[in-house]
Amino acid sequence: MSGLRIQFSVAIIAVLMAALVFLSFQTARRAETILQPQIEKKADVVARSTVALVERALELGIPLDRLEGAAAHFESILAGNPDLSFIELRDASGRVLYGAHSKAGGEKPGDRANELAMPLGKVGSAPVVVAVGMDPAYARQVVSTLWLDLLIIMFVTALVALELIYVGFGAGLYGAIEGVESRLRTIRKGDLRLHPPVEADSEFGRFARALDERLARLHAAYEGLRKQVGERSDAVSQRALDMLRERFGLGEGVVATPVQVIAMRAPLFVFMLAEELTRPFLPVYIRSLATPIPGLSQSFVISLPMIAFLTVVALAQPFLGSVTERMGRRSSLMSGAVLGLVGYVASAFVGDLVELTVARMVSAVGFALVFASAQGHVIDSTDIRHRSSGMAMFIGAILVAGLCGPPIGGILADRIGIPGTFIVAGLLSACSFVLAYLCMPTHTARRAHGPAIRWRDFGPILSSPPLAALFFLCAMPAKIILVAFCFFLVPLQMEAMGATQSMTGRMLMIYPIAMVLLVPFFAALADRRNKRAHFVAVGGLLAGLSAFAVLVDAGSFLPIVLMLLGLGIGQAMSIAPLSGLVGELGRALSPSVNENSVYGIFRLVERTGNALGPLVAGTLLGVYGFSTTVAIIGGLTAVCAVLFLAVIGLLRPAKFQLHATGS
Amino acid sequence: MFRLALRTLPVFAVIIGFAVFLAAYMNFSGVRSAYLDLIRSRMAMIAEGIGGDITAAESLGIGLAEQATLPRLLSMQASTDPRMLSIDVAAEDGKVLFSSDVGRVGMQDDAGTDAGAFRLQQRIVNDFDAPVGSVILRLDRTAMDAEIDALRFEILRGAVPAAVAAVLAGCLLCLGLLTLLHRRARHTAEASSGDDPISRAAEEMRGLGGEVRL
Repeated sequence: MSGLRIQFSVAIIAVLMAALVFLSFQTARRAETILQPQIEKKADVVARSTVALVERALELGIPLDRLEGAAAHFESILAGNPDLSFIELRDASGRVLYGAHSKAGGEKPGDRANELAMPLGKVGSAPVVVAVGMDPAYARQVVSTLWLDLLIIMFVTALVALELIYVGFGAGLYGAIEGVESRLRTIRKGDLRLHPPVEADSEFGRFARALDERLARLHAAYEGLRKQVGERSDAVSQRALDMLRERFGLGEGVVATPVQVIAMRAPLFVFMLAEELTRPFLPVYIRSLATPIPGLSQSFVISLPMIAFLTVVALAQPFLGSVTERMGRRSSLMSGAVLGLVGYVASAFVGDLVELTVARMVSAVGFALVFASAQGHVIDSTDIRHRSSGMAMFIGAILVAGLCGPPIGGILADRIGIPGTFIVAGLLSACSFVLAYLCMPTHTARRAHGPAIRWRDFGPILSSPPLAALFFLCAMPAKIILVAFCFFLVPLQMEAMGATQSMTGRMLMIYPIAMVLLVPFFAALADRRNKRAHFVAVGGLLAGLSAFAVLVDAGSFLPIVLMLLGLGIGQAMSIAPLSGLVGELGRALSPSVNENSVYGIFRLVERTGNALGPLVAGTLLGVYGFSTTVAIIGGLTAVCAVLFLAVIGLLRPAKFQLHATGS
Repeated sequence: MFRLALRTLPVFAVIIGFAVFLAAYMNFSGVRSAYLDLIRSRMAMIAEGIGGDITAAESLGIGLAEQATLPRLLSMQASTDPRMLSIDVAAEDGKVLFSSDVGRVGMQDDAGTDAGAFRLQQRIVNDFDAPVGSVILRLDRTAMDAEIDALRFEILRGAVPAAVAAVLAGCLLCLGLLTLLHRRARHTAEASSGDDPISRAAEEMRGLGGEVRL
């Protein structure tokens, strides 16, 4: 359904954009009627206070042409009042004695309708006037500043619609439409392989079945012909049939992700969206609740609830795989959603840091349960051939939530406040509960899979120099830098720079956008070039070096944009090759080492990096401030990437030699 | 197809309708913020002016309680806005020393029990940054709320036709896309002969002596 889903989203965005334009014009008109009288009243206050000021100066005997600083005073008034376009002190002939004009343009002097003039009284024989210009475009400006937020809402709505479309259609119909679309797509390309059956209750289901019957007849005829030709021992016909098979895929079946995998996507997406809502404001909220702890810097104290959250997630996840298997994936996901609801709602009402830390730890257990249940559902619903595409669906939900959550969280926090946004996150957790109840099967066939991590495998895995280098020089620093920058340092720095939560949310979109767009590209490129280690190292180097952008000018937004963009591109470059390299290097170990263990330990190292992120950032921030902290973390990440490349460079020739000798 | 439309179109209708009303709410809240900011900044200007006068008198050695010209100034400022309930000058302990509303003089100001007023309170400090008291401006909140309610109603009323049109257009577009897929599926599923890849593969197999009935 991917093609149709894209068409749906384009249609929805087009319609919403049209509605938005209409609505904005209407709002601008209505805004004028309510804002204009207030602007006039304000212009009156400005004019009166200016008149009083000038009159006082004149009373003190200062001549009108020697009012030093009058223009600067007018400019300072305009700077704080974007609804005013100019302030002038004019003589009887209309000559401007002193004046200031807004840089944005706005109303030019001379338009009497948008000007308020107040006489000063007689100065000599000529009246002097203070004129204050009102910006008639102010209402339109107010509405146009909302456009960015509205565009984000439209974009997020389209993404949410695509995520939830499965729920609206129901599994059967969704599977049937997707089935028909994939059949038409493959047939159009001349790929005539057989497809897994879909539910035939709907009209689309019947079409899918009809298509399958046509394909099945063709395949049956092919098999019959092959048998005949085999009996005749006709080599020429045999070759022709082989060519037919190669061209049309006759006698073969399509490996498609089972439709039941998607059942976890909506509850997982909605739950992850709840957590992602908190990204732009969580450190700021923690700071508002934090009280000084002797011996600890404020920034370290702020990091504590985040460390607690990520530590609970890191420690719980390795065990929750088997717990959710015993409880049932659906029940455990629903339990996780309930814990999320409790944790988020409690976070809205806490009064101090300890209470917030406890509430976040409850949310963390919920988060880990939902994550492990959804992942377990994918494992249960797929065999080894479908596992990658199933996991791609799982990761896709998390990435889309990461893209939508921060900007929406920022917009909500600006409008309804941080506690209100936590309540919304709690409601989303409740939605996740309902979606899991509606969409996920009560029982799924459990696939036998060994424990994720076997303790006896720690020794051989961590004592393998290339794997240890990959884990501790690439995987762990990648998570430390990600969490430190995106979850901790950027929100705090944005707030220090006077940014709104919406702006912080938009800033935090840069990283997931780069990831969503570039990960597939770099993954394919790394596989094609067969240079995974280089991609991992160069990605780490780029992510680390991009941090130095903030040294140029820590007080403006552009260096932060460049830093996050570099981080996103660098990690998009390294994330898939890193995962692939784990398997590649793991296979070089003794056959007694389980591949599940290699990946399990890799994930554990990554999660430890997650938990260390706020700890490292909080400790350094308290001592060195934002720019130096960012540069230190980035610099160390870059150094680790170079060291990794050196280690791999030193170890690889020996490995290749071994292979060569062996062969 | 009708049954399919009945099942799928409500999904799109809900999504589009929700997004349009969210956009309408955002528009409303943006204009409301601008409206309140305008009022707040005007009140701050007035408070600043009064505070400046008080500080100037303080620096000449006239204590706040002795600034006898303040009542006239407060009344004059309050009279410029019919919605102004009062402009007060309170001491550090919150006791109202001067007010444009003489009934409030001597009262203890308490923001918590003053729900009927939209307030702005600005602290006054002397030349040594020591607190002297505060200027409190109180606007009639009822009138402001009525204006905001009218704005909300008008924006939401304007959003209804936009939402209806968007829902209809969106549903039609999505239905069109589904119909297109439906037609293509029917064409391919029901074609027993033609030039699609299935027919071409069958034709080639016939050429090799196979018997293919699609």
